[in-house]
Amino acid sequence: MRILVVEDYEPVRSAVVQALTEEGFAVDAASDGPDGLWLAQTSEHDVLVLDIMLPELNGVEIVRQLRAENNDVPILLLTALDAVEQRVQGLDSGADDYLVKPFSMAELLARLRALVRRRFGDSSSVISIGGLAIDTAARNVTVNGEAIAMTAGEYKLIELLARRRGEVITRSEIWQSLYDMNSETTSNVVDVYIGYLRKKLRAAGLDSIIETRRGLGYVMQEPTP
Amino acid sequence: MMRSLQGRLIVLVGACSTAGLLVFGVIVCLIVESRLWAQFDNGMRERLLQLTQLVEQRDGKIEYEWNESGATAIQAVGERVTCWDGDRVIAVLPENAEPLPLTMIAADQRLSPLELDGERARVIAMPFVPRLDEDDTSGPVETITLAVARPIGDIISTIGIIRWSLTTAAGLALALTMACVWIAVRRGLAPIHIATRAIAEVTPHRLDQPIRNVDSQPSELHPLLTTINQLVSSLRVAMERERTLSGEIAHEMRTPLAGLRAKFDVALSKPRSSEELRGLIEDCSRINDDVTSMIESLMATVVPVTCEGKPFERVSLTQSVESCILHYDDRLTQRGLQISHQIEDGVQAFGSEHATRIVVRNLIDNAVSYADTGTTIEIECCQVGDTARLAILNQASQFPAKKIDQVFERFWRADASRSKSEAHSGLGLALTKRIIEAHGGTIAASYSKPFFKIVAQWGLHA
Repeated sequence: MRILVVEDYEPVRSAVVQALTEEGFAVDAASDGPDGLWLAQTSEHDVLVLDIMLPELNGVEIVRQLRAENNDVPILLLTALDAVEQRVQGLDSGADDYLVKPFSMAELLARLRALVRRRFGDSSSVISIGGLAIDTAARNVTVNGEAIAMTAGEYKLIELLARRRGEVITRSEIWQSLYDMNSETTSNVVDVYIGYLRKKLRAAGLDSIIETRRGLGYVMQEPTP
Repeated sequence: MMRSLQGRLIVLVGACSTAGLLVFGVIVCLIVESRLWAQFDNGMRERLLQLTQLVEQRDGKIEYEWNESGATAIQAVGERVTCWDGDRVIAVLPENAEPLPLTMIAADQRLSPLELDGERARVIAMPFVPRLDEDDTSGPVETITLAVARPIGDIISTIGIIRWSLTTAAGLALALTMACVWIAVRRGLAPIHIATRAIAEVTPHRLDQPIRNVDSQPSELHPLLTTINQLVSSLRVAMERERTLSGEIAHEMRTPLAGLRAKFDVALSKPRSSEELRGLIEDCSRINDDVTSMIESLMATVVPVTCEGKPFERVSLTQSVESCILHYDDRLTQRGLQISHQIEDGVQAFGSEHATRIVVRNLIDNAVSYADTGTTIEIECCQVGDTARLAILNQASQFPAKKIDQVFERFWRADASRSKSEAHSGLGLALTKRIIEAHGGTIAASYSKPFFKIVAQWGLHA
């Protein structure tokens, strides 16, 4: 999952970026309004975390512009403005959630997970496909009840495929979702991680849950009996 | 001690009424008594004159025509004769005779009190020469003293009745007066009760609606209620200002507190190496510095500006400006800025050296922080008449011109964000204005795109 954080106060921005990165998200960050808007317009993100009082371009204005462009990315406003009318204005502008500073990092992460779930139409934090179960809150994967050890990169990939199950995802989309703009990896790494995943799933008894669509990408779907 | 206005008024009016009635009653009583006594004494005098006509000297002896006097009893004791005439007593005696119990009788008709048969009486006496019988040739006629006495029980009783009547009337008048005063005071104080009720309706949550319908209240209350309304309005404005400030402080504190909380949450989210923890602690320390700086600036804007207890003195503005500029070399280079200055020698301001340095630093810091990159800041420091003048001009093309009047407000920033500099809390210019005004000076800001200019002036005297 890829998240964009737009926050002008460096200590908050760096802490949020670090916490999200450690949570397994790919994180892009911007420190002012125009940069944040540009990143949101030019890159695919699964969630936006926006401060309101940003330099040069207000966070609420960014939300309005994105919604005006039919960009439906979930947006969480993270701000010191706590008055009811300010919350109402923020949510009415098109934001999906509103969190007032100072905040608990655990709460921020939980809200972001909820936004991601809603984005992909999941009602539970556990995604089940065939015998595969992915607990997105605990970040663990089981096959037929047996836990499978996974690296951070493998987990990011399987969560993405599971969330978009039944949907063909291009290598480029996978790469964008898993790595932030500062990553030096190439799209080839996607094929490598797909190979690792297949190997681990096969060992656990799930053979054909990830299919390759030549020239298109990959799709996760329930294995045919 | 009586604190009630109503009680004080009643006591005061009651005391005055009592004193007035007392004086009036005494005067009336004295007049009536004196008239009664005068009437009584005149009657005795007339009677005395009548009796003198009944006395004559015959054959060298004094004789009395008692029958003509209407006497009811006559008693002769030696040379002295006492005759009771109804309730009067008449004593006729030669001048050299044994004195009667009427010892106080004097030749000058002086009235004197005495007891007559156990009853208090008044007596009047008059020496005279009785007429001589036509046939008497006994010699010279003797001068005798004739005295008339009369009991005064009746008149004393009458005076007692008059006194009692006056006292009773005075008591009733006093009671009536007190009742009237009580009613008058109650009615007189009614507007105060009305005002109290009206004021009681003004609660801390309703300061925006002070006492309503002042015009419908008694006219005597209009000035009071209007003044109270003005007071409540001032109070509301002050409270609103304080509420705004509290809100602003709370808002300004949220962001650094969020930074601290986020750093702590990250630090505690999983085991960290000592290097990671050190980095997080350093971040927290920087945030703490930001907060401390903000609080110090804030305190300086809300508490009286002092000069550490020292009296104001002449301080060198030239020196303050020159030394301050030197501290900005690195930041000027960093932002590609230049400073062009015209600083007169020996420019002095009257005030606190410490506070003056704060003003100079804040003004230059503001220009260095917000000037457009690659532009020139112009600083002018000179003496103009009796004032020291510091003018700083910089280019700020992004400055919102409509908000020029807000630059000295607390927490106001041209850009509401914090990205320009973490240290800028929006308090510097507010503090600067406060200091300048505490020194009796003036400060003003103007903007003519793209030039932002601030001019501060200090006096040279106390």
